Amino acid sequence: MKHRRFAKLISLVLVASMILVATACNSSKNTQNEATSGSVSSSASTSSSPEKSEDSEKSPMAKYDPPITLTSVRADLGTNYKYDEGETIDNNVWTKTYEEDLGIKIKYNWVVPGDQYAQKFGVAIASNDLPDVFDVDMKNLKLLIDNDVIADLTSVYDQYATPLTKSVIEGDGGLMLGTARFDGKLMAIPETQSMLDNIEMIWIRNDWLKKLNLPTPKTMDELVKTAEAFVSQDPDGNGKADTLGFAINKDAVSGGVTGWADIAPIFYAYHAYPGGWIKDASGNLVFGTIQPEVKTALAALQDMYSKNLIDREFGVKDGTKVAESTTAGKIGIAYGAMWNSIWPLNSSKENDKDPGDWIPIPLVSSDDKPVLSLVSSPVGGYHVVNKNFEHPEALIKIVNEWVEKTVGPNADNNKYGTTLEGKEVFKMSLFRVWKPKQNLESYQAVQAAFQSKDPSQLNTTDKSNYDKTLAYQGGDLKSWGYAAVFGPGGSQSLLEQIDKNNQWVFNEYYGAPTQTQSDKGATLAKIQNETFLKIIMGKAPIDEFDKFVDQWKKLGGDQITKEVNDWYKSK
Amino acid sequence: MKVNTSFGKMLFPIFNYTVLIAFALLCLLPMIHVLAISFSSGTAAAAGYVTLWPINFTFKAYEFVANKPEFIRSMIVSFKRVLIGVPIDMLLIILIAYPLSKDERMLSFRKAYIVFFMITILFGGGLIPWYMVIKMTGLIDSIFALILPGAVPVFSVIILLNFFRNLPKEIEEAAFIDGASHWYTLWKIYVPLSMPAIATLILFSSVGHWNSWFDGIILMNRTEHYPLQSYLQTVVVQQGLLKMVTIQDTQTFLEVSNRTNKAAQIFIGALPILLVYPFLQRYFMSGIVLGSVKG
Amino acid sequence: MEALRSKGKKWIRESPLHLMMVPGIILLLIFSYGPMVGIVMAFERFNVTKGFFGSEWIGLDNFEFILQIPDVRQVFWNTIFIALMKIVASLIVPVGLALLLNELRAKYVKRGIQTIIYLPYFLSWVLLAGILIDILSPSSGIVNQFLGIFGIKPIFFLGNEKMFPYLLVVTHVWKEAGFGTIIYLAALTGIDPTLYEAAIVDGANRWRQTWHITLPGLTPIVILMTVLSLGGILNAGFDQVFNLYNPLVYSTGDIVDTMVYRMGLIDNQYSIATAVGLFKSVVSVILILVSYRLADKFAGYKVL
Repeated sequence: MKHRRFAKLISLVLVASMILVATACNSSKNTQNEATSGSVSSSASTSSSPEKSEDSEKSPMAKYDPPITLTSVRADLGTNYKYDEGETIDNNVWTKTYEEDLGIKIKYNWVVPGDQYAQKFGVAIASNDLPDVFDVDMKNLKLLIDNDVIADLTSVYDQYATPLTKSVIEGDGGLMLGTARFDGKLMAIPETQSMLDNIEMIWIRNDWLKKLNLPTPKTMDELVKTAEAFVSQDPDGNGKADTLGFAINKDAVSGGVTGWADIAPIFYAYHAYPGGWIKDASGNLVFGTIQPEVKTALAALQDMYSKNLIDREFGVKDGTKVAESTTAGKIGIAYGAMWNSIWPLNSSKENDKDPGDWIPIPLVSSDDKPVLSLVSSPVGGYHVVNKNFEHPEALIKIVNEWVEKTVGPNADNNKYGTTLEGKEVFKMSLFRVWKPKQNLESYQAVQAAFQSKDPSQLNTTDKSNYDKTLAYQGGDLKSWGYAAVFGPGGSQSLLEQIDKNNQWVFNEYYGAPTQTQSDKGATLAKIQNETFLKIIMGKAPIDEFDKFVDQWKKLGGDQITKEVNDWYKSK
Repeated sequence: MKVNTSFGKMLFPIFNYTVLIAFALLCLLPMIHVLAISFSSGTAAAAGYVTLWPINFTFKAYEFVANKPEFIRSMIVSFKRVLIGVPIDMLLIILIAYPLSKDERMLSFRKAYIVFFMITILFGGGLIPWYMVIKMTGLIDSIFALILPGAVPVFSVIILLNFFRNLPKEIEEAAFIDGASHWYTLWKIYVPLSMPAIATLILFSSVGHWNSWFDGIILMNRTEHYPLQSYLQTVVVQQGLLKMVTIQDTQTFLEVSNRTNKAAQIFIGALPILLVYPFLQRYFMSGIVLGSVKG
Repeated sequence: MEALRSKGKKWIRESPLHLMMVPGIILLLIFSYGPMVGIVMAFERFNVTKGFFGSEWIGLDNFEFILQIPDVRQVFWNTIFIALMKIVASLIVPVGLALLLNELRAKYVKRGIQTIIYLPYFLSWVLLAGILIDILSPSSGIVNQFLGIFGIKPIFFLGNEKMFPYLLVVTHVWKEAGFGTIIYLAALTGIDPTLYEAAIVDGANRWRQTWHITLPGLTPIVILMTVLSLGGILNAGFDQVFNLYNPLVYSTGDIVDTMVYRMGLIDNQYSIATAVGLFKSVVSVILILVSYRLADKFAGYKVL
């Protein structure tokens, strides 16, 4: 139902915007004959018309004349980002492009490390010290809407987003865009991303499997037996019982997905979906965390812990710490995302004392029903406009520019995306949106090139993935990370199957935190975390789970469930 | 007690040395551990082979740090902060401690002043209002945002004013009889006589400026303007994995997670203090004590 | 007339004293008193666009809400428990160290040990926490490797909710003991040597000298340090806890300041966070006033 509605909406929007582009083309002009944006629409037009000053503003890619200045804030690119000589976050190919093509000068009020962004931003919101355009997460988006700080983008999006932009943003049928709608008003442009890439898999040490003569595990039972063998049969052959079973990071305990060393897929094996809002038989949304399946999964985890399959100190190890164990060759099984080979398993692969031959294998189920992964809206952030800013359409133009330069017909990924040397120019752009299946498409292109033995058709990103796969096959260990993603049998091949079979459960609640969630969410999460930890570590009996469910309901959970369902029905 | 005096005399030094050396080791070993990691190869460190001696000795981590403009830049910011901040702190401390060291007969409203200063220790408006005030003063992103808001450390004022009070009154009285002004008395008599206390406070102020990280993170708008500890907080403190969904993110993460580089940066971050404080330490004794105990 | 003139004279004589304090007072008015306006948030439902003066006034509702949050009482209890233990420990350990150091005859050894034991005092909690998390790890940390020599199984220090508060105390002492030691050591050297000479003449042994001369000599400074720290009983150390805690130990390790931080900056509950902070400040002030009174009454000691 929902999807069909979205599809209809898209086609309407597409038609509407094409007409708009057509009219805009006729009138848009630029007196200076610079090789404009490279955008199809604006470069096609030449004729100058008297009403330019009014209409040019309305064209999706028209340049502001005189140029406008737009303030923003952002996280920096990390301390390891290599700028070219003279290039800075304030002055680079993207800022130049914005200025030359769109007449928009970007001025960053502040640029801080990613880790500090939340704090800095929290202070900025509280003191109402916000720039013209910026990125927020869902929680802050809600706060900004409640405080009436940001602009309604419904009409500027309809009017200014190019068909190409819309095709990227709404490539998933408009699901992600829908998360930015409040009371029917579009309050933000989501940074769309791949939903697929968040689905996890099992990374396992094939060399250990071979050494202990074990088959590739196909069921949860087999996986547990494999883990037992890894713990007890000295797979690293050093004569010491120093190997551990599963890699688990401290943030994974709640069943959330962090991308590395998680336990969420263990819950999935028992058809439990903690953290998700799942449709029950009667069509209502229920909270995955309090379902009886979770108890079964926790019992299994408790059992694993008692068998020493889980690191005694998993509750304090963050991902980096867990990575130290895999690097040291003490762990042979980890649940994680498709990129785990690029980090952190590459260090294990390159550890010359004990090189780990990690391979990705599909998730396993505890019974004969297939294992499904919980997927949530993967929006990376929300691009919003300050209500006091005169040019809300500038945000859409900037997004258009991004789409033109990275996926448009004249896209130049070497200049705007990732260079041949691997420099990630795209990070310097102000706002981004991603095609929903970018990496999978790249994998498919690379496979096709391998089959045809002709890489000449590949774009720069795909070519780089192809080259790295080839380099690894030629013995370059450093290229293994990418080869294990995009190469034959790489992690994307598993996602391709999952995509084909729709092997997921969608988290039906993607709205902003409800009132009670905001007020009580932290407390509830804390109780959950503590209970789960205690149960897994055997410090509390498994029946403690029932107590937790009661407590959760009483302390606001019932209220949250009601709010979530109200939201669901009102959609 | 009497019987085993000689035995006790022999035993006590042994006990004494054991306890003190044990405590000293407790303070020293962790630092050596970090140092050993910083000189070890990345793989050895990540795998946890390093204890107190470098494994596969290398300068790589230090080369890495030396080639990091951000590190060097933030170190310069920190030095600037200390060089500008400490004199301002000291001037204000001295200027407040001197009048307050007088009693009510010589300084009207002394009690009111004391209350005024004490309240600032006891109450605060919280982070957000504090930020808003600093923003209103236009200091955000300037080095003075790190210096002026904390430029009156009231605890240091208390130490110095107590020190002043313990100075022999006779000298001061003699000076006044000779017609010396307060200004003259302060700078020519009090300050020279109070060098131990002042040296101690200089050290506190320097260490305080060098070590603070939270204000840098909240008040600076660019990473380039971060002082060293704020910068280190972003590098040394664990990075969240939660948001890493793209391949590009993981690539960056991979590069930063290098344990040896972190260790080298921790060590360099601590180095200036390790170098300076042994020289100032001899002033401590007289400095702090005379400032806090009344004769 | 005469009285008036002398009053005028007094003012002229005094004016430099008042003027000297002007720069400092101005800075404090701006940067310490200015932000106190923000305390009104505690009585409002704060709205960022409306600001301090436009937000809805809700009286004590925020405080009522706080009392309903189940964790608040626990967090206050944690804070007091941790802070009290810290106060006691940072009294005993430094005094002990100072007494021991005072007995050392070799000057360079004494100086060397002193230099080393207050090394951690000068390092920030950012760096120390990084070091501690590393060395306390049950698998690769030096501490557990060392305990392993004696056959002790790896202990999971930072993840154990029973141990965590004590760990905070121990690491606090580890960092701060050196500083306290200097103070007490200095106080020891300040004790009139003739007292000892007289005691030796009277035939008192070292133990009796310590008991009857050294410890009483330390009393004023001990009182001062304790009184000063009593005021901070609701300050259990933000920097330290913030950098060391994790969800495993929230039940015993979460303190008022870390809770306020999370509420204010992470959960955007500005008004609630301010209310908790204000409550804390009020309690602290009362404690400080009481303890200063006590110090004055029982030890005849005026802090200012």
